[in-house]
Amino acid sequence: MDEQHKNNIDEILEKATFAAAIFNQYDQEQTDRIVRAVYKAALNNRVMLAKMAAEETKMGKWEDKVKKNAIASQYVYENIRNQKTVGIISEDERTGIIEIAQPIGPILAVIPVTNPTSTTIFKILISLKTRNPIIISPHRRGPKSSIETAKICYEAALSEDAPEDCIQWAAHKTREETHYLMQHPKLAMILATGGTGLVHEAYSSGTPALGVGAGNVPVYIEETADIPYAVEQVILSKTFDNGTICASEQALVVEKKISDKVKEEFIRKGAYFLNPQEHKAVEKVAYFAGTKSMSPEIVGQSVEKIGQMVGIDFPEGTRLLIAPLKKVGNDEPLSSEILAPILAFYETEDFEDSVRTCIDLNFHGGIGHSASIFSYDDEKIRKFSVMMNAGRILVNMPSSQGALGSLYNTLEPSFTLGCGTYGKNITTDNVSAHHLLNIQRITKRRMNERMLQMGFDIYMDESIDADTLEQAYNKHY
Amino acid sequence: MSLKTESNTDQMICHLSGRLDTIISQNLEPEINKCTDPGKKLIFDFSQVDYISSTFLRICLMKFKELGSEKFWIRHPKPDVKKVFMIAGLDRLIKD
Repeated sequence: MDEQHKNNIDEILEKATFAAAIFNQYDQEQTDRIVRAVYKAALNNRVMLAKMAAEETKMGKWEDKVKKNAIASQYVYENIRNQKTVGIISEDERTGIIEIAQPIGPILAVIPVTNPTSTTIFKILISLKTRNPIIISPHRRGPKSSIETAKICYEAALSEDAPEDCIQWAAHKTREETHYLMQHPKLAMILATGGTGLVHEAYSSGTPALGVGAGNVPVYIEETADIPYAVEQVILSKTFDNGTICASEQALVVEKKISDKVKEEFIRKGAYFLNPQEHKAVEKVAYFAGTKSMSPEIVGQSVEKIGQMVGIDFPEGTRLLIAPLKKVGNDEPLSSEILAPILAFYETEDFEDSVRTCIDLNFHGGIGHSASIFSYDDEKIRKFSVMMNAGRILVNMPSSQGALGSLYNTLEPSFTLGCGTYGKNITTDNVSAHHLLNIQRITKRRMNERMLQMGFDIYMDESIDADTLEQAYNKHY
Repeated sequence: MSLKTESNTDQMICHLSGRLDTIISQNLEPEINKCTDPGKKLIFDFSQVDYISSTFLRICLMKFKELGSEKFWIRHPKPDVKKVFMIAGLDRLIKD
């Protein structure tokens, strides 16, 4: 990387640092005014931005991208609007603890190609709410729509006297430049939403990062499930934006005793079960054996487009392709995450066999992300959930929309879904504004009564063992 | 008024006050430029400044680059404003 490119990045970070400094003076009211202006501008432009994103990336459906933009603006705003994010945010006389919210500093927001506008809106809102400047790093396949979103938000922010350069964008960066940006000493945090390689790079940069992981969401339709309802919900989810959401269902797991009914219902609602030849053809365009992951060309494509790619005319009106599989792993490419309207289908013997299959799927590239179950047996739901390694276990709901939060449940609305340490993330939360604050705690004197009662002299006598010390510590309690 | 000046043969002190927001800063810039004499020290007294905008921060940085650390500095900022300079990495502009 030459000096000129380095200087450009240095300049972006210097501007962001100045913006952070100025932002530090803003009170809650000023901050909230800025956030409100930005949310309204994003919401007003939801359709134009959605069309632009679909056109530019050639992925997904613009109508569903409108919904994503609405969630990223209105639902996210309603979730954070009344949150205290400036100065003293809580006081507890009993514990003597007063909490103060401080901004964390300049944030680099890595934007995925699958949600170029909605993720941009979401990250801008949560950053501004916490008085943090943000630098948008768009995906190379969707820079225009992300940058247009950032510009609209920035103009709206400035209309409410936000600090200059509180929103910037850094497009067309090479891998080397991105690395330089990520490890820049003036950067405070990376919000890394994207592929595994990029998230790993963010975590390896030395800058604190909140990232995501890949999903491989199993959906278990348990025998007590309402089958027509479950099928409808899965189709609603898996066809949403042509399956671009990483929390979308990837594999159906169904017990033999109900599998015929489930199949019939899927077929009735527009799904098509692939025969072995069709299965092989779809596999070839959906999966790269070299990287052992989905092909970028398949992401967000409609059944019609997939049909053209493989040279097969699927029946008119087909919404979803389903591949019956026996095994999970690299030998069965469609058992991996495929962000398109393609689902794997497993028949199982009983509950235990189903959970075993879901564990296999969960650990096959989707660890820490999300899992889904349709059931009315609370005990089985709990047993299933304990066995999954997933930040979100979604019960009786579409997993794409469910995992995003706030529509089908009370999870926080988010476009950055943490996958925990097994997914190489620091949290399993739906990331939101409160993750972008440094919380300082004023602590007033509150004596530990046990320490007063017991003192420290007792520890000096080596003959007093742990059991005695434990008794002494808990005496009278 | 956000600006009062005090001058002698050696230095020019600009006493700034109140909120130096974007518009006020833009209005102040030509006045500050008029006060700038390369032969004299330029000192911004910030003891009455409550708020500083990005625009004024840039004016300070510009003066620092133009005159150097021996001939330009800021003095007596209130804690809130001092913190702005610390976060911006411009604490070298302050001499109390």
